[in-house]
Amino acid sequence: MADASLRPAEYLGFRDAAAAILGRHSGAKALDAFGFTDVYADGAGDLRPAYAFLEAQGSSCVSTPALGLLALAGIGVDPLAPDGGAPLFGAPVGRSSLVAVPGMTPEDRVVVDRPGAGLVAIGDPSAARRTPPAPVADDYLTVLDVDGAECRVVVAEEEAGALREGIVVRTQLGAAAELLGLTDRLLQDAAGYAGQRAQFGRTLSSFQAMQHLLAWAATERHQLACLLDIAVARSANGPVDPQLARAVKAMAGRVFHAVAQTAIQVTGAISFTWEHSLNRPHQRGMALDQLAGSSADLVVAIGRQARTEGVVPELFTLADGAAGP
Amino acid sequence: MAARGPGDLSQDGDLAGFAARFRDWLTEESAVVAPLLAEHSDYDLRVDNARALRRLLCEHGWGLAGWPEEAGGLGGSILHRSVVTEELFRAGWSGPTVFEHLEIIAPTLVRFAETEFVRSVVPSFLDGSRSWSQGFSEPEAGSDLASLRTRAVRDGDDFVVNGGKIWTTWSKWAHWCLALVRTGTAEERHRGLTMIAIDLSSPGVEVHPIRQANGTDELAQVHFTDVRVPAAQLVGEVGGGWNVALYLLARERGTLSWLRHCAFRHWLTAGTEVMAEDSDRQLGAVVLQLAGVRAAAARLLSRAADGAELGPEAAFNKLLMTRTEQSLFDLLREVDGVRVALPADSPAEVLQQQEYLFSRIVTIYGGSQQMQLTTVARHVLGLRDG
Repeated sequence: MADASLRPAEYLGFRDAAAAILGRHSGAKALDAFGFTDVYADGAGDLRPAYAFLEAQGSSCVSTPALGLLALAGIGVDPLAPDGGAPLFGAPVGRSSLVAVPGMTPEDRVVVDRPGAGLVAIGDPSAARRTPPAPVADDYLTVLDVDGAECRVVVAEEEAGALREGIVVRTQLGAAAELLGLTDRLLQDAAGYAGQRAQFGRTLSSFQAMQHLLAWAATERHQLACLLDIAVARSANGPVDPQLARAVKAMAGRVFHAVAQTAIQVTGAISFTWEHSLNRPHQRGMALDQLAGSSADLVVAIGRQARTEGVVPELFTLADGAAGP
Repeated sequence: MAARGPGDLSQDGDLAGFAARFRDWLTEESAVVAPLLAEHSDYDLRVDNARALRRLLCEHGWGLAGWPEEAGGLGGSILHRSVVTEELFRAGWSGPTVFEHLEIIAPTLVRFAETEFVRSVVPSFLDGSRSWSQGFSEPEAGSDLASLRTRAVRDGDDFVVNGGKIWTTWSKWAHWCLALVRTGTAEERHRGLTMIAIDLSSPGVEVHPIRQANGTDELAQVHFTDVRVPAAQLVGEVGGGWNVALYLLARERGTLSWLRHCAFRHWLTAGTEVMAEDSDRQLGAVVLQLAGVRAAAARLLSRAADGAELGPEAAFNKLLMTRTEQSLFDLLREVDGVRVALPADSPAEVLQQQEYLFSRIVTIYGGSQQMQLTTVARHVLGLRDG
């Protein structure tokens, strides 16, 4: 999107650096090249580079375990992982007891949140893995059914309570950043296609109907970028309001679906093929929307809170000074 | 002891402290302020209260905060003005009526008019004693604004204006009209246009209010017959009117969305009182839309405060703002159609009915929704015809 002058320059610098790395590497290699774990080596103070990395990961549709690491950032690796590298967080999906782990490899260890018990490590994550009966378009998220799995408490409930909010906020903002990247990818590809594909002797993009479809998609995407930027800037100065993170995640899901529908409409029947470049980012975004609260569920929760409390949340103030570049 | 009054208005000043001081002042002066914020079904009374509020705010410095010294202000930026706006809405305000134009027209005057003219007219706009309308549309020039025909011809130190404007909001109460007129040929299209400030008390000016579908007469048709306008009232250069118009429209489409979203919150909050569980999904969706308007507006305000040119991205704000306004009033109609559709029995209901009907046409003023979409498509996405 041609909005480089509108968004925070430092954040875009991180994002573009990440994009260059993700053009060459995936998985742990990409994280190492970016210095991803250095971002929160001294705690979870300024996670802007991590969110920028995830946005770049979305637009490149590369898989890394960044989102699973980010969720546990600042919690302290040692008590969680006495016997190896940092574990990944398995985020709840939908309303089920399933969890999804981003960018998981067979060697990774996984921690999930079990309210009442605390943060628990799954004994054998691979054994808890759901095995799809058919090939999947995108294997970024590994779904685990951890009911009945052998677990070890790594952070007791008494301490987990204080960590829970931060885990949810980081997961929601990280997933939202990635959804924004995916949204950008779909929008750019659709606009590019409309500029090339000719019908009736003209490019699709010359038809006002097509222009307006894409303009609405860009408008949806613009509001998400604005709100995400505010939340990310806030994250550099202290804890992010959970209501703000929830709104960003809910908006990210809704915007993603709206832009994906536009991209499919503009691209036409070819987009409904397995191998089309739109298919994988579309299915990845669908899955990410389910992580840490789906947009459908979060929207209802937002409405319920506004109704029962009689308060429409402001989410941020102008005094936050976080809105501009 | 904490500072009183607006205090430090510098760019890196404490905006949160400014907001807190203004909140304290509102609380201390609530006996005087509250009656001026109250809702009334009588539009003239609303305008009177809006003027009185502007005067009160200026007397205590709050209405001057964020305006440059040549405009009679105390310095600061649009962020200070926007904080004042939001705090007033938090205190129960339903809006500034005719002074909604303040954020659109006054920055345009400050930017493009001669300093002497700015000094002579903007202070009285800020303190509420004078208000302005804008003359853009004509009966034969709506979305195709560059085809407008109202003509201004140089005659000595004056321009002589003939023609007419329509849909000039709040002209009934206005003392001035910032008008886009043709000084060049019709073939020059937008290059032959000039912006000029016309004193509506001048001989040859006729203002005819138009009764709207919602019962108010906010809009008007204005006729100009041999109206003499001093050249000192030019706003920008002769032939440079299109750029001035674009600057102004970026305010109407963009930065104004901050004020409007504050009003939306006012209406939505009131509406939650009559909502039930089955509205949660729709309410949540509108709350999210409102968050999008707020975030996009905050970004634009920040850019304006930094002195950045507001380009075609203001179209995003207009699209988001007006879609949200319609979604919001759709929701209010669906949860309490009787309140919206049948004869009202309170000033608040009258206002809500007026606002509901107005929300139906917000995708028309300031450049239609279709024009905004075309702007985004061409100037943001770079899509081209052919």
